[in-house]
Amino acid sequence: MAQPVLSVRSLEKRVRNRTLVKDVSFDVYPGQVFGFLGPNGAGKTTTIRMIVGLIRPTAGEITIGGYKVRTDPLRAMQEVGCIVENPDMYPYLSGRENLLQLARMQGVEAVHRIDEVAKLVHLEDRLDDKVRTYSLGMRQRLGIAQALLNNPKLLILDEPTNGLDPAGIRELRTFLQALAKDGLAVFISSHLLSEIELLCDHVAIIRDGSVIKTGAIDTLLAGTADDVSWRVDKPDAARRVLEDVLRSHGIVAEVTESTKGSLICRMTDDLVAEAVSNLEAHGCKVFEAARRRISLEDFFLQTTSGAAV
Amino acid sequence: MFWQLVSNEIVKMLRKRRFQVVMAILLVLMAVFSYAEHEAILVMVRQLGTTDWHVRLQQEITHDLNRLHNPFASAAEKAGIQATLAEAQYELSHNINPYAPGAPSFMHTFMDEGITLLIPLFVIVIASDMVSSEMSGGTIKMLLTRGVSRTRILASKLVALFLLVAMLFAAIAITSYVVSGAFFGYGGFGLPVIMGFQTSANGTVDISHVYTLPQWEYLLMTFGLGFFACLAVASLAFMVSTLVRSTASSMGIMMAGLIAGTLLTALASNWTLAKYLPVVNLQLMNYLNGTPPPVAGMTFAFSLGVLVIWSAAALVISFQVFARKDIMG
Repeated sequence: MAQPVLSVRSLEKRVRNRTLVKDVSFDVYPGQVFGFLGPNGAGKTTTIRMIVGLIRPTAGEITIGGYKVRTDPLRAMQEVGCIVENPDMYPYLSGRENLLQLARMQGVEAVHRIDEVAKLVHLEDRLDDKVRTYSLGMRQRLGIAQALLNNPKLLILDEPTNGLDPAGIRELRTFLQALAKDGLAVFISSHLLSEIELLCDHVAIIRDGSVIKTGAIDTLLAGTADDVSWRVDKPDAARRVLEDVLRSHGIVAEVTESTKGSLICRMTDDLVAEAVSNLEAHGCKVFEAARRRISLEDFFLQTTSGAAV
Repeated sequence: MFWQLVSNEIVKMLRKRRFQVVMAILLVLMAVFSYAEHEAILVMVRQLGTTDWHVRLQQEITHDLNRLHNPFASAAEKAGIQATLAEAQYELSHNINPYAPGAPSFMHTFMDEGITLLIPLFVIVIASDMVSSEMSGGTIKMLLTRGVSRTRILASKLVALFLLVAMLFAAIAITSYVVSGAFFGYGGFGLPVIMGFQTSANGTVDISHVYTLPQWEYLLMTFGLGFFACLAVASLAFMVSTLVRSTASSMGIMMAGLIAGTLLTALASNWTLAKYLPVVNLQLMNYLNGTPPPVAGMTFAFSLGVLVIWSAAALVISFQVFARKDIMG
């Protein structure tokens, strides 16, 4: 694989004896949409602030596009576009003037790109209105436009789905995936896991300041056993049959009943086949036997609750 | 590139309308002051029963002489009275009309009086916002993640602030001329102004070095010194603005300091250490016309030095802190 665009190595931040972030490491490659997940207060924003040079790490190394943030911060930041926490802009200026303010800091090419990025985020019609009159969704889009002005290799978005309606979120998803297809690395933090699952291919999960899992979503989820849910006509009889099947293979597992009346247990494909024939033999009609893929949200709750780690 | 940053800062300040509000207040104040002064002259003429300025000046001298014999007047007050007395006598004997009306005279008075409180207040209103507003608005994160060094960004803000103070002074000059001219007429740039009185602490006045300057030359000096004093105020407010997150508290701190300082100036003769405070040294133009300083032993060079040292220290602290600061939420 190519060189990582963003490489974070054993990052640590301490403020007056409190460790906000410790031993955080991960790599983000070109073309990846990388999700940075964790509950509120886990250290996501602190980590992002260190990546973009707003906060000085107590220990560890951050490299962006080959430049070390500690020793070469200006060169490193020229490779980055970012929104930290909220899309920040001057409400008393128009969208265009806001873009111009930042573009002028980054040179002539950025100034020439203003119309291009405005079109990219579909703001060209409202560009000359004051930002004060923008909705939160439009501010998010203007924020992304600001971040893209310098044609970055790495786009960092902190909670980008905040304030977006479902249509806006879907639009953002296709937009970011298109950007990633062109080779941009996108780094997204969020606590909304269902969004991230659809958006990202790789994730790092952070809790209490440390990264506890990192990798491709598919690989992470493949390691977990999957539940099978059964819809049958006689749940009580069926429960006994299922428990017998499990026990006969030496598995001590519980069969639980979901709120909708279907039975849920964990078993492999072979056992499912055996259970189906046994149920029929016992006169239970099977309407549905469905394997439920564990969602990132379930995985996240298992991982962050501590018990399952 | 650097000037693009400076122009960004000036655009922001002008679009925020903070500068315009200051200008509007200035215009109203000028009109009120001019009107009040105009009325005062009419009342004076009615009381004296003549428009002859010799009569008025003679009355002032008599009044001052009486005050001088007041047993309750302190030595410092007496020195002040001696100075005005000497000036009046000099004017009378050289046939110079100190009350000659005209827009330039008004400008001169406005700057002399305004520099103690009013003009520094305007400077503080502008300067306190420079850095704090970016902190409280969150936009500082955008500024600092653009691949431009923090020192450069702060320097551009400082240069923009100094330019804005210069614009403020130009605006004061223009508005005070235009507005007061409507009351007093627009001539009078050539009128003589008396310079070179030297008042010692014990109240003796040395008139051996007295000379006159045309009004316009005196105005240039007054505005120049006022500008210099206000750059010192701007530097201090700029430091507070870098240290404090909210514009309101940064403005509050500076205003409290300024007002406490003007009160101190009145009391300072009893507390000599006060002469090392910047606010006590703002009235640089008083050294031009021989008004005794608030604390004995202060000289023009001393005041300049105090202002320069405070400003330099404030700017060093601003840049040091800003370059290292962690921008937390």
